[in-house]
Amino acid sequence: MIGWMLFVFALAAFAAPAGSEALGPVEIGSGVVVAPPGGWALAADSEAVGPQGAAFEKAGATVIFAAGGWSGGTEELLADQLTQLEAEFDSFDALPAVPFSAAGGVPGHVSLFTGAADSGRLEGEVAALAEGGTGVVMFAIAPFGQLRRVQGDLDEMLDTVVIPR
Amino acid sequence: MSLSRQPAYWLFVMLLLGSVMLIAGEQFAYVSTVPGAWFLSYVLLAATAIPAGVIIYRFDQFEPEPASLVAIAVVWGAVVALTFSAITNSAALGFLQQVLPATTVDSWGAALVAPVNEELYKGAGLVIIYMMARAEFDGLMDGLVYGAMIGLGFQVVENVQYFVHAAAESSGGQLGPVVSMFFVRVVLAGLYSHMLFSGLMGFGFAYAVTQRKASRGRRWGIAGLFIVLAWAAHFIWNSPWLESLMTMGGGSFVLVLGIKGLPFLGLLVVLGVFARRRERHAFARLMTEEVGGDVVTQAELEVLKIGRRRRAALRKTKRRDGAPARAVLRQLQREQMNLALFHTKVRAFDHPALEAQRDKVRGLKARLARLDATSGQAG
Repeated sequence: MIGWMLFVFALAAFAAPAGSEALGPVEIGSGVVVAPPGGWALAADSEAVGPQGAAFEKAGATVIFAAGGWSGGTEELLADQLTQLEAEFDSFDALPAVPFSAAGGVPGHVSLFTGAADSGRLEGEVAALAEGGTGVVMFAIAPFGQLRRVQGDLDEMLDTVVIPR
Repeated sequence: MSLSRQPAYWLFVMLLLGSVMLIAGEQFAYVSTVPGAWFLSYVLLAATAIPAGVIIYRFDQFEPEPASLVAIAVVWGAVVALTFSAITNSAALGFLQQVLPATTVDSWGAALVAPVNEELYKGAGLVIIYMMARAEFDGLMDGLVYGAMIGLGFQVVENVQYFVHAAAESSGGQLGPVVSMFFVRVVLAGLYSHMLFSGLMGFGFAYAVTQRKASRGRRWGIAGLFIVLAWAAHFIWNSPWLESLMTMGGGSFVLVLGIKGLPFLGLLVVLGVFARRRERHAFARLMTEEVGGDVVTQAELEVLKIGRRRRAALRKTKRRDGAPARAVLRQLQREQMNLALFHTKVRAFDHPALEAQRDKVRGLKARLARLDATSGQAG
């Protein structure tokens, strides 16, 4: 019994991507630092996000962090992101934005959405943070039903993101 | 039989204590967060699991299993097998998430992971019970009963998890989701669950350890076949096959449940009838030497062999001689059937234990005759 359990644990550990321990803090630009928890790897096409961002992958989910100058409120930043997303997905539907606080009490707004793309039905989460003239957007996407598997990690990344004041 | 002298018993106790520490924390979290849902879950499940347990227990009519071993089977399923399965399932899903696309894991993960782990850990309960009390495993029926009891325990606590999680995730009240889940998982699908899977495995295991006249290859080959059947029944049940049909409405939903579960349930019923028939023949064979004396008549043996006839005799006696006579007849039937058990344990026909049992039967017959005479005079 215990042997089988250890075997399965060994399999899971063996199959986990190399360096599945935490990547460590990653600076995505404008002094913004993101710390993905264990199991997240830098996405193969992370460079495509641009110099002011980074993309990470885990278990079929992808999360992109992007930073840049922003002098408006977080609700507008989020609305701007949702408008762009709506153009990219079919059957797009987003829940009303809700306010939240990230690391150090930085204010933000977050929304969950679903939509359909060529690869099938997807669900995701978009969060917008702003502090000291810097705006940060987190965009997470996963196949429908899969986002909950990484929800705790997303919350942790938002809780620990560092934005220079 | 002293269980505490068996190393396997202490292994069970050790695994149980370790598992209880994990599962108790989980149950405490349920009580703290959704107390109403937790309580209602246990009430609803007790209302169905207790009768189910009694039916399974009584299915082995010629040699009811010791209550202590039956309790160990239920606890093994409810605590030890469930805990080990939960931990291993989680690790196995983590493995699958690394090697399969996320959508595949979402659809097939439960079908790929749960049957392997859960049937393994429930099956380990059969082995441990056998190691505790080999003498109690002497027929195919024993494996069916212990297997189904392990499955019953597993099913109850797993259902509590499902019910409570449904309540916790609901934005409405706690009780509605529990009742809905109860309807789906117990009323509609209760028969196609762990009792069925581990009942099949129990039959195969009992074949391997009790049918000693068959070759070793045949015995373990058949055990292997039933392990695969148990796994297949669980796999098909958890698989997303016909899922699109399930969303089309209530009738389709029930139809899919039937398509996925009924063939295996039918097989288990056939096996149960087969095992019961074998027990009946074995009982008649063991009683051969007793029949014709003052302990068991041929007519009584014919009644004892079939549960329906025993119940009819009890009803008739109650009508004719009242409830006390029925109670005595019931005890008499049990003690006459126990005579067969004594024959399996001792070889000599005049063994003191057998004689004592015969005296017990004679005493009950005399009591019944007195009650019969009293009611006859009163009538």
